[in-house]
Amino acid sequence: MLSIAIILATAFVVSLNANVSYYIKRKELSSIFIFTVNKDSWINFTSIHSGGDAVDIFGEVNLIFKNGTSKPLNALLVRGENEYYIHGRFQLNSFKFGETFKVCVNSTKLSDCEIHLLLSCHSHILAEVSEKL
Amino acid sequence: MKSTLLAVSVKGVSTVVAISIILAAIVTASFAIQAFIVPELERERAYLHSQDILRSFEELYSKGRCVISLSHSGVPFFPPISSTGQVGYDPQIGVTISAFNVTELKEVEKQLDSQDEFEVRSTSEAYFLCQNASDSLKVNCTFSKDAEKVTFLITSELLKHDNTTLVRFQLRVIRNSNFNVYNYTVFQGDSFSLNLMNPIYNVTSFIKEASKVYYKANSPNCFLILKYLETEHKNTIFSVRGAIIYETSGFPLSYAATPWGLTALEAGNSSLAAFPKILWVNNTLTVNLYNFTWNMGTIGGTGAVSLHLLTTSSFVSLKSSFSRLYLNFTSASPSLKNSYLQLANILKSSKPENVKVSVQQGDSWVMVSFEGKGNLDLVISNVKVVLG
Repeated sequence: MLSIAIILATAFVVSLNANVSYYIKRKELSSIFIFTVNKDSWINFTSIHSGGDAVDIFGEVNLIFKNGTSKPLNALLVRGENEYYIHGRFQLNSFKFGETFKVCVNSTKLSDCEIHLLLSCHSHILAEVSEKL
Repeated sequence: MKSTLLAVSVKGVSTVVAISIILAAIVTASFAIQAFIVPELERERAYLHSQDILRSFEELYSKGRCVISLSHSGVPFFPPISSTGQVGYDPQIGVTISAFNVTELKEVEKQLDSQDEFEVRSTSEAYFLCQNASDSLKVNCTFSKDAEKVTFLITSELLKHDNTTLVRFQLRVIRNSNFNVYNYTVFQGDSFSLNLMNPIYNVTSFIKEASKVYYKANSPNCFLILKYLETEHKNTIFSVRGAIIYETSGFPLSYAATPWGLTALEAGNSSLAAFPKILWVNNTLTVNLYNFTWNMGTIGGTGAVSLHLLTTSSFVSLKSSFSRLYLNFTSASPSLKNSYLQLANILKSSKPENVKVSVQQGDSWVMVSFEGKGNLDLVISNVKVVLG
């Protein structure tokens, strides 16, 4: 009886531990929308945090060709006063409600393709947008 | 006998210990569920509900009606069963648009009896009228557009027929050195009129698009009557107010349907939650605003509420150029300021080259100024929010 109880309790606690740790990790519940401006051979993607948790953002900016192939793009990332040059991938930590950041791509030498920006967090995709050239 | 008693006692102890272990596991489990899993599930449901509210508000703008679910159901078997929410109205949130040197088109009617030259636009009617028909008339009426011209030359002479005196009018329509001649005969002293936009002259569309008219007549009894659009320059101010606000007890995120679009509110801060209704489209500032009025007080509790937009009066519409334009966003609390600044930055980054943008701000207001020649396409819908 005692051994059955120990086995049951151990199994129960292990299963519970797995579930609780999943919920403690929890989903990042955030809304982000992207506003695109295509002007003077610059394409600016303004991303706005419009509600929910602060989130660590993993971003990808790629050029997608008509045949379906893609390559990472050079871009300028502007967050507040800070500017960074990025190549394809970037990461932004603790992006909070009300904050904005911009990804600026120079489209001078680009044609017949699509610029694709994808923003995701640890658990899922937050927002994505494409701009045809 | 002794060993049997001991065995029963050990068996009893093991049962008690086993039950205690199972009870401890159940208590631990229930504590863990209550402490970690239920709040997270609750939070996730509240967040998904907030996204439903966002979609409902978007429908309010696009379809003029929406159903807002005030509460969301909680996690089954765990309190609270459902949250409560409320929809209210803030009359203090608004924007004032001051536009300088806007051009307004007004339809005017002009009657000319001597010599004049003036600018016209979209001419809709052009009549030549002669009272008391007589001879020796000489009239020149010329419509021009860029280098092209259409001239109507009207002359008259007397004709004797039996005992009757007639006046014969000769109309010569000249375009690009080609001309056609038309003759009209009336009794002397009668009135005579010509519709210069009559399709038989083949110049109707040219007159409509003409930018200048020259008229000269040697008789005070003859007139040119024109109906056309005249451009008037003026300064104008539009004021738009009122926002519908949804708040819930279960989640810190709330939404405001403002005159210029959806705004999210959280912990004294704000953010644009959807594309704003003030945007640069090429070189034109496109402004689609809603002037919300509300006579219902605050609607709160659980369940759902259906909102409907009723157009109260004719909407305001203006398409014009401007030399300066100010957008002054105001509210009673400073929490909306961040969303004003986000909108200002979007307008700044998408502005045309010849327009300068500057942003001024106070505690609870932001003013965006545009200096330079720009175009404005403004529509203000005056709407009353009612229960559907």
